[in-house]
Amino acid sequence: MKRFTDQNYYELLDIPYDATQAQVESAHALAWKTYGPGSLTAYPLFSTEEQVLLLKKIDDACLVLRDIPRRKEYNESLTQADSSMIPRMKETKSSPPRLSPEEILKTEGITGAALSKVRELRGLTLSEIADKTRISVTYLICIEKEQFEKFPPDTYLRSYFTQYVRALSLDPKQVEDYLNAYDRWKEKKESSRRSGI
Amino acid sequence: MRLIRQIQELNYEYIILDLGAGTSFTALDFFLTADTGILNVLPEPTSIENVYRFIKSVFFRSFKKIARAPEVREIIKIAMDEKNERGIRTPHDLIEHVETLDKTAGQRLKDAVNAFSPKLIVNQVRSKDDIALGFSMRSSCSKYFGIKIHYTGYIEYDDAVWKATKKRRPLFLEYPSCSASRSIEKILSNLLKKEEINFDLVLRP
Repeated sequence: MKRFTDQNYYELLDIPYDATQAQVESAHALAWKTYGPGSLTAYPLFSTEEQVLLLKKIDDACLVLRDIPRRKEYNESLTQADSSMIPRMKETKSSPPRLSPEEILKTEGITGAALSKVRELRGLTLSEIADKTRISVTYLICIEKEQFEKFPPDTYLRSYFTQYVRALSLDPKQVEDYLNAYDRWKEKKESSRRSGI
Repeated sequence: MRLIRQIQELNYEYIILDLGAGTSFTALDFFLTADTGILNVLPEPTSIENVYRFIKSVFFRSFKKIARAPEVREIIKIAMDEKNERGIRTPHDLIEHVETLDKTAGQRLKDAVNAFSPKLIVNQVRSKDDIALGFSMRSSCSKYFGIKIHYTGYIEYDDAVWKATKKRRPLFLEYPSCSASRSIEKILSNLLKKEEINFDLVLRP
């Protein structure tokens, strides 16, 4: 139970020590909603000065935690100051934090490469998906490598893509951008074909 | 207290007490002795202020019950008067003051703080901002009181509620698949599984 003036960056943002970068950003956004102007939840408990101070500390925390090398340095300074922190912070020292599928799609966009990462996150191989969906591995590779020129006819494409996406336990609506990109590629190809390029 | 003891001796699996918004000692004691205390808030300033007031009252009530020594009880009484001259504004201030008088009492107050973890439900939600309110209150309470509130769920605003009331029928029986009923089912599930609303799932842009 610490005053906020004594809290470390993770405690200020209310995030675990192995928080992903996306979680840092979400926590930052929530802090501004909670203590910023227009908030309904802070004024009964904190004075305006306290809110301003708290936001400044949270902004400082975010600047450091957003920056991976600085975050690492900060983590080391915490454990040096207090060795009982080491077990609590263990996860940050080992492998990089695992992103959720939503985070992958958000940070990388709805690309074939991102979908491939989601597939790996789910622990699925292309042949497993091929077995499940009866779509050939060749077409699955085309989807992941965005080899639009090798795509099957449109009548099959939507259905294949939807089945692939469902096999990854994603909502097809979340990934419509991928098909939009393909449509744009097709349009460009059509217009350049028509103008004889 | 006798009433509370008698309630505890009743032979039912679940007993639900609707305490209303009051801060009488009875209401505070009921809340403190319950296995699970649930706070309801509307996304409106008056309701939020009421909930904070209730939490403060519960806090101080539990502190008073823990404190034995007269000087400590006196400090708590002073702290409850918001205009007090000792500058005891927050629970942190209070515990610090108490610790200077009596270290053991201070530790017991800290233990009480750590043990206090009520559940929060936001009612009549109409927007994502309203949903976010639960997370904001959780954060504010953590920083001000040092307590961990569980954001158990929210109930979407739904006309079905007043319609059922006008018909003098229970919501679940009359409109079992309306959004308010579904919200309540989710809350029930979270209560039983001791889970909270997931920030990332709910508030993804």
